[in-house]
Amino acid sequence: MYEVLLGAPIREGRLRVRGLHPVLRVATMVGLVALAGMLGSLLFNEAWRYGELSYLSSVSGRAVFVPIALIPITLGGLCLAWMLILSGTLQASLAIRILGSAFFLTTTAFISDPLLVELSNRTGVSVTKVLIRVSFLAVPVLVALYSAASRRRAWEPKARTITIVGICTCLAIFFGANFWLYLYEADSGLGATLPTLMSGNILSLQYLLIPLVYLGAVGVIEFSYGVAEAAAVPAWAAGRDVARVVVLAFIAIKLWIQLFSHLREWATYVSSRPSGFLFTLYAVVLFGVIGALTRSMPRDPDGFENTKERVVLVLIMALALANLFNVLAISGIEFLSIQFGVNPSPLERVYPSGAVLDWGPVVLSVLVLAAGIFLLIRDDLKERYGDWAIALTMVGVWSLPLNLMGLANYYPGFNYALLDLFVTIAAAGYILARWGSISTVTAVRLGAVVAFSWLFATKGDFLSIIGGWFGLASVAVLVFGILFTLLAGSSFALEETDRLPARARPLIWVGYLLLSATMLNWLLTAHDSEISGLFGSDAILRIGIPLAVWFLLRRPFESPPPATAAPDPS
Amino acid sequence: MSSTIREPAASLKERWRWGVIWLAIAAVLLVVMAMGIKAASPSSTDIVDSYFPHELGTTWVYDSKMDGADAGQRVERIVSPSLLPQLGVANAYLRTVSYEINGNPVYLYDYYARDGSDLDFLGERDNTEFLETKPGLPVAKLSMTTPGTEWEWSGTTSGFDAQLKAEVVDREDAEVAGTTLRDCLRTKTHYDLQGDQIGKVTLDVDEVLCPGVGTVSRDERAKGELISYETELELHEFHSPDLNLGPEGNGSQASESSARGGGPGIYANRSNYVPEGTVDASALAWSDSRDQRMQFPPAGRDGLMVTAEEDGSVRATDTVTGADLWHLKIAAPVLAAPVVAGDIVYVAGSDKTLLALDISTGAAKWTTRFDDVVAAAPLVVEGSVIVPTEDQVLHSLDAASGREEWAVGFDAPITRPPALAKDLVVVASDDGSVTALSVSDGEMAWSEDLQGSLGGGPAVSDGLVVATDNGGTVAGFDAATGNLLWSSYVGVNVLTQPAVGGGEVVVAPGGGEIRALAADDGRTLWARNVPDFSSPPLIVGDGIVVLTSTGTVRTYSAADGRPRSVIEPPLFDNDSPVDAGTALAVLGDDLVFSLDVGPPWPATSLFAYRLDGPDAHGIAFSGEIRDMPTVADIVPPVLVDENLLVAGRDKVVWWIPPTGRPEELLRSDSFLPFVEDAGELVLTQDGSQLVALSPQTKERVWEMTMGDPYTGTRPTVSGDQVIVPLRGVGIAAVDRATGDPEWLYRSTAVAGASSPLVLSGGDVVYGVEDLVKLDGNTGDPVWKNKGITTFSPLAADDDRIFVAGIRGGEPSAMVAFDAVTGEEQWSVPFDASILVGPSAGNGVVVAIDASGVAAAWDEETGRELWTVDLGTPPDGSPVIVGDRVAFSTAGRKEDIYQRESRVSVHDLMTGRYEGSFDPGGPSFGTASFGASDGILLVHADTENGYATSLLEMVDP
Repeated sequence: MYEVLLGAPIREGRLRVRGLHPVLRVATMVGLVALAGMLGSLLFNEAWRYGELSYLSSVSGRAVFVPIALIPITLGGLCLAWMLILSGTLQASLAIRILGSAFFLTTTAFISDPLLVELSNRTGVSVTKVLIRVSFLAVPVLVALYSAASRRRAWEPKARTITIVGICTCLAIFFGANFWLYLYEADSGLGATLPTLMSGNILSLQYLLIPLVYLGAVGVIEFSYGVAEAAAVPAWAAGRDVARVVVLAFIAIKLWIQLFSHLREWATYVSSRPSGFLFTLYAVVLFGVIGALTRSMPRDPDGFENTKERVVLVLIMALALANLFNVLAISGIEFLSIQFGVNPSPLERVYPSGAVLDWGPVVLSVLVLAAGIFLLIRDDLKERYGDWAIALTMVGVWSLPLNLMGLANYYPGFNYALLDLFVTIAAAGYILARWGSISTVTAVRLGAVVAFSWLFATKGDFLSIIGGWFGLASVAVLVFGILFTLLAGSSFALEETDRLPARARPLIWVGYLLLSATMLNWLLTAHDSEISGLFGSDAILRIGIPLAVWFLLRRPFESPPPATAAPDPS
Repeated sequence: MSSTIREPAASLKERWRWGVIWLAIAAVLLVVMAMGIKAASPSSTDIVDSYFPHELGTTWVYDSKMDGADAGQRVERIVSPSLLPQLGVANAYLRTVSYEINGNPVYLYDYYARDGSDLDFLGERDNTEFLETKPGLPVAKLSMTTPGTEWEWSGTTSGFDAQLKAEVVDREDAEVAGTTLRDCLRTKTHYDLQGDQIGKVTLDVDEVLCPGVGTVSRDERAKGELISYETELELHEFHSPDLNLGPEGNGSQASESSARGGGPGIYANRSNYVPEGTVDASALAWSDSRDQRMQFPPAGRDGLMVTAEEDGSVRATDTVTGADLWHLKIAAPVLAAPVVAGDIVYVAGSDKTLLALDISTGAAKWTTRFDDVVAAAPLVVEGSVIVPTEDQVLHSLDAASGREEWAVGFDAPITRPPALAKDLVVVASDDGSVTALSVSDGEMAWSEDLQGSLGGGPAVSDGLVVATDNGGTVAGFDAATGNLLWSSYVGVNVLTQPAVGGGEVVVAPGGGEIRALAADDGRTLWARNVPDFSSPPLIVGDGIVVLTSTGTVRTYSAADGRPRSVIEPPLFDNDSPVDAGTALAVLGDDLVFSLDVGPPWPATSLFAYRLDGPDAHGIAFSGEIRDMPTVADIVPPVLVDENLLVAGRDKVVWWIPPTGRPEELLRSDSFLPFVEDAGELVLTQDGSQLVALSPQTKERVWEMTMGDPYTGTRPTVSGDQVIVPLRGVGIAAVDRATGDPEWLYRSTAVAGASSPLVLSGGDVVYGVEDLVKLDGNTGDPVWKNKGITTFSPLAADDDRIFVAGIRGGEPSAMVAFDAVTGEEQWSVPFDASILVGPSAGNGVVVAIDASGVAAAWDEETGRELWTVDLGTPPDGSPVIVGDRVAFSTAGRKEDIYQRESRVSVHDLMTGRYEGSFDPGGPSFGTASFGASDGILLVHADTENGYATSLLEMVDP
């Protein structure tokens, strides 16, 4: 059971540091340790609040506070994350280096020109302010110098080492000096500006976390799938009669718990929210039809696991792109404003933020759908990209109406429990209709599907319930999803391409995860964000549902191979 | 194409090596982070903090004796963090000391700040001035725990030269309110003081300080040439976030539901339902404009309002008299709507505390600290205070002592106030679960889930619990069992508190609609579009009241939703941007709503409308706020047509038109004691010269020698004459157009400062050293009343003259004279403020004394008609406009963040409060106050710079 649930996925998909250059290996390890610490902090984030709090702002009459102990933790996390990301980009192509530097400049500009009220002039404060600006701007300068120097192949290794040391030093000075200024302000009795700046900035950048939240959702779905698969392991060995009776009993119990004991609530729901009922039914019919139509599509020759990681990453980026673009555009305007004194108002007026957020997802879902249909109808491509074609089509055809309804401010309501109920009733109907001819394989698969459907409908709550027994915060589900992705969905970080070689990937990947986890830790501890709410309302809904169906279609539950059939890649 | 790295096999030795590296990395990161956290965390409470607690709200109550006789109670409180820019100190805190001397209340503000290992006393302020202690006087040291520790100091304190020698003499136990306190320190301090008023004095102080409490006893013996006294203080009550010492039973036993207590949700059942009342657009009871934004609706009851402002200020106001009852600053911002129950007000500070304050004094009755900040307004019910905190815990505290009775954890935050359903407390957490617990022990009675996360609620009425979810469903539960009675989908974003009562549930789904559902089955009764809908709806009697985002109050019939009335906000001008403020509140019979107004106007305006009928006479203000190039020094600006004339502190006479640039009329080398409108000319003083200027040409038309500038001494225009006081010479009348002398009354008197008062017949009254009436045409004395001196303007009405002055060695008084004969008609004790005189009209004379107590007397008999304690000293003489009188008070000047100077308007005959206006801003300078043609002129240095508010009183 362990082998099915955790052993095989981790062996296949975990991030590996062995084989990397020792320095890169240590750097990645530092990032992983910090990431583990940050995820641990996320799990127990409420504990931070037992310490002294710093007031940040009021949102709709509700005051937001951050524990002051989180200020050095967050600065440290951001510093380390940027060290990893920028060091990683130095191993990659020029375009990625430029992208990394631009990303750093725009998203960190908020603390690059500190505002400070001084009761009396102090040389140390003035010097620190200069240090902050110089160290901030030195980072892109160092990257540019490295890019110039690395044209000579002989200089490249030394230049890279010197640049990495230089960048890490600048980052340490930059974040360290900001922290020193914070201490000065706090000690002088004046209201400290840094926490407010950090809060405002992290809040404005919170949509950068969407990929992380989506990844976490996919991780949770995969794990739910694994749990259902693992739970079915003993049933594979059972005889046909036992299997079909057990599965039928399981379905009957489930129906009793979910349907018959709550008939009154369901009646109230259907009468008061017919739109929710119909929309959930529409989802079942839609995915059922797509599943039936694409049953015979060939499998990806690279194997499902490799394809899965790429599909998930591409789809997540596609769904999050509008928000990511918007965050970077607004951050860029802020950067120009802070660094060059440019009045941001005209730029903000010209930049169509609302249109990007409203129409961007619609356009992107159209593109995803078009790509999926294109792969589906081209005979020469569907042989190789069958898995891709179905995933893109499902996500596109599902997210397009969701985005259009969002534009019209119409929310029919989607009911996960009802979806689960439909699946369970369908399974019950099937098993009863085919009672005489049903095979062990079909019975067990049906049972596993019903179990997966149950777990899926909880949106990971079964994990938070278990986490609750150990005193973990409700964010445990998201943390688990991130961790599961890191453990079982990070093999792409070891792939090699010209633009993004394998030596760069672990640093950038771990750096991104650390950056995101640091920001998430701040937001959740400060009770200042709805971002974790996106886990259920957005991530599971938009990408979780079609991918769950995709898993079922393209990776149906199978009986486990013999234990000896799982060799270690090493 | 991509390829994938495969990891090589690792030997055992290599595994060990890398394992150690993993551990080393983890250890280094842990150490670095721990160092960071330690650096960021405030140093833990040390000896000094322990022996001198200074958390906001900390309260000491002492029994005091003076020369062996009982001298009542002395209350000391930490009321505010404080910024003292003049000392370059930002981390000071303020401790108020209040006690009585001979029945007169005394308030002092003491400033303390940490300076390394010392706690320094920086100075004190009474109502008028700050007396710096220089250098900071160390009252405690880190090294003071060891008996035998000594320290010395010399400098100036309270205006006296002083030397101090202090010694810790013993370590002992002490007892306060039946509690034995260990490790207390007995200190003996000897002062040598010297000053003009006290001569030489030695002061010996024997004090016992206990950790976590501070001074528990203090004996003070002063012996000197001019003064000698003995005082004794014994602590009998102490309250801080970490410790409460006696007496028990201070808290309220009253149920919050017993009175109309404000907001949110008005009552303990959070129903937003007021069974009786009518909202009438003509029934404005009062208005109150403040420079700090309100965080929450006010709490209180009929005649009493407690507000919580953005900067942490908690203020209690008598809404009948306008009296500022008390003011406390807690850790900002205040976190939940204040709740009044019985004689206690409960407020939550940002330092994780909940304070129970005496409603009449603001002194803490108890303070409790939680693990996290308070998340919503508490529910006070039958001896318990039930309050949720941000860490998802619901606490029940004993209302009398603040001790925790029970606590229950939840899976999600509770950010809405708990509601009372008989003996159950109903809470709705953000994840959409609605739970009822027993008030007495917190045991869960039932718990149900909404379909989505919480939108609004819970609200309870007649056994029905209503809550909404963010998906647009309104659910009704049986309050006793939790059974779902009905569920109704009304549209998305039902995020506000529903109103439940009178058989209806009124909700406000998104999209600008209010919708009424039947309380018994949830069917829709009616729906109505409400443009710019803002705050939760309120059911008042048979009507629905809503506040729109533009500040308009709209009422609808509860029966069918038809519109009834509209109250447009009676606000300053049409151009000021207005947003709805907090939720609606009901204080007794007053419906209160607040509007947030854009600069330059005060941040928040509260308006109260009577629910029991139109018998109300409140006013609002309209007008403009004009930027000023300078601060007016003591004398207020003068309005000439639409132009303002200002004698600036920059020694420039400014002419400020409504639009366009201000113009300089005159630049002087000495301070400008006045500027006066004299028709086509402007009068001011340049050095010793009285100058008449043309505002058009800026030329000096005429001038005459007047003597050195003297504050309060200014000429008066009387028809074609200017009556000019000449200090030490007499009074002269000159031609207004040419400055040619017409007559001179000789007098060498210099004691006093006043401007001549011109009576209706043209005769002149002057009050320096003697009160004299002169013939306006000849300057001949008509009568003289010897020995009356005033330092403030005179007033006259109906052949009576009113003087706030001094006669010989007698206490200062308000005296009425017959204007015809000069005979004294009546006199009442009155502590006059310099430059602030009485005003008279409609048979009433009004004045405000040096401590801010406004009083009105019958002009004929001197019978006191009313008094109102406005709390702080006046900024100018009262102004009578019609049947109203306006006062301006300076506000407290504890630090630049804290100022509540205001103009308050009262009914002239009864003193009833009608409205107030706070020009706001930091308190570097002093506000000044005057009036021209019924327009109130309030000059202040506001956050937006120097500005003069030109206010007209509007009676809606």
